Amino acid sequence: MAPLKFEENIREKLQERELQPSKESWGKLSTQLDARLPEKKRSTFIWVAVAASFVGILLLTALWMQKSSTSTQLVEEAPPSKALDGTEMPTVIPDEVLANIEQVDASGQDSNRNGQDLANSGNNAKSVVVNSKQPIVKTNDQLLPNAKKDGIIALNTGQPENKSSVEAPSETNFIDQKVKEVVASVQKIQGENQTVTLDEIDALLAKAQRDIATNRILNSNTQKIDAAALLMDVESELQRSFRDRVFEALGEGYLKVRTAMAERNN
Amino acid sequence: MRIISLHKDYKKVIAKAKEGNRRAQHEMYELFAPKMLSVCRQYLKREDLAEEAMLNGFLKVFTHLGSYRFEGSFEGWIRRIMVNESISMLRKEQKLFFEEEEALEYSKEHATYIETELEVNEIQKMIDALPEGYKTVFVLYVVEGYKHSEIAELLHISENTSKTQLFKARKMLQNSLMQENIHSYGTP
Repeated sequence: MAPLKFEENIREKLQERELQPSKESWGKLSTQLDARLPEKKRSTFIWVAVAASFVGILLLTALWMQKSSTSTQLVEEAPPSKALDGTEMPTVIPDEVLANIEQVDASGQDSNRNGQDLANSGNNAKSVVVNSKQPIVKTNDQLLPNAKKDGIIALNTGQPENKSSVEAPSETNFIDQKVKEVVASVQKIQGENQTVTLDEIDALLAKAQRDIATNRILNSNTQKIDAAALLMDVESELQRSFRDRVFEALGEGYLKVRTAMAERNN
Repeated sequence: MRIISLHKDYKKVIAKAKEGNRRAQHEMYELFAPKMLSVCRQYLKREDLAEEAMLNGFLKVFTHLGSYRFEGSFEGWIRRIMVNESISMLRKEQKLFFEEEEALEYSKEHATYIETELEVNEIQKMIDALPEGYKTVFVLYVVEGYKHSEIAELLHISENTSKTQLFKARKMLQNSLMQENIHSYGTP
């Protein structure tokens, strides 16, 4: 072994030496640092406060978003109804319901009633108009047990299966009213001139159809449905049923006119 | 390249520790504590006191980190703090006492050549056997590389006292080594 300088050996060995402090040493130092350096605590507190604020803002935003979406849904689910003030009531009349209404109206009982109404003049027509504004709802009674009682109409557009269960009384009554008006006009012309021409009947029917179509379009605009599709569908149905009802109301005396109209249409 | 990146990271940790970042301080502690405990242990025989001195030293390091200007060795800066804390601990324990001594007839500060290599534990054992004054001056001079003037200033003694203490420390260590050799190899 080469001779070593003793003091150099000591220096090297001691400078290279490492001694592991006890496990709790950092904990002691950390406690002392906390006592000595409160700034660190403050900065930690600030960061915690900032983080808490951020989380709070996030929560509030989430709540606000949830609220706003809920209110939007409510608006969508509850279309504006004026039935409460008794002025106008927006309705959706599915084709099937309309067809059923027309079938019922076209039955003998309704014909008799229409015949009686025919004897009366404008007063009855007026009362029919008033009746048309009465809210009549055919919907799930379990869902809305008090709706009829209170005269409130609630339409759930979010559930398409409920649409078919909703009737449109104002629409039906409006058609009835138009039938009566046409019949009254025909009778009036007949009383004055003894004869009614096909052109006169055509004009009356066309006017009534326009009125009914306009009424339907307006209703469609208030409801969020496919107005174009509904209009196309209903117009074809309307031409047939409305004419049928008019002719039935006029009675057998107008069978010839009906035949002539049918021939013309064909 | 690696040295440069390490140096950059090292500076980053110091900068964060300066801002009071506890994680960075812990990182620094983990990095330097083993060496600094060894420094303190050179002066203090009791390990618990050495650790206490080291913790006091680190407390000073972190509280005065703002005064460090990245000039010179950071380890050297910490090491000096540890030495001061160790000496303060010795004074606190009233173990550091010096008698003013006149200059002895030592013609030169001769180094000791011995044909043996001691293990670090044996070295520490021999140093621990020295009186506190001898030991402190010896470690400051031989291990830490302090000059007598610096030792005198640090220990509030004269330079002669520092030299005398070193001389006596060397003498004692020589005797200890001779005794060690006698025990190990028989009569020299």
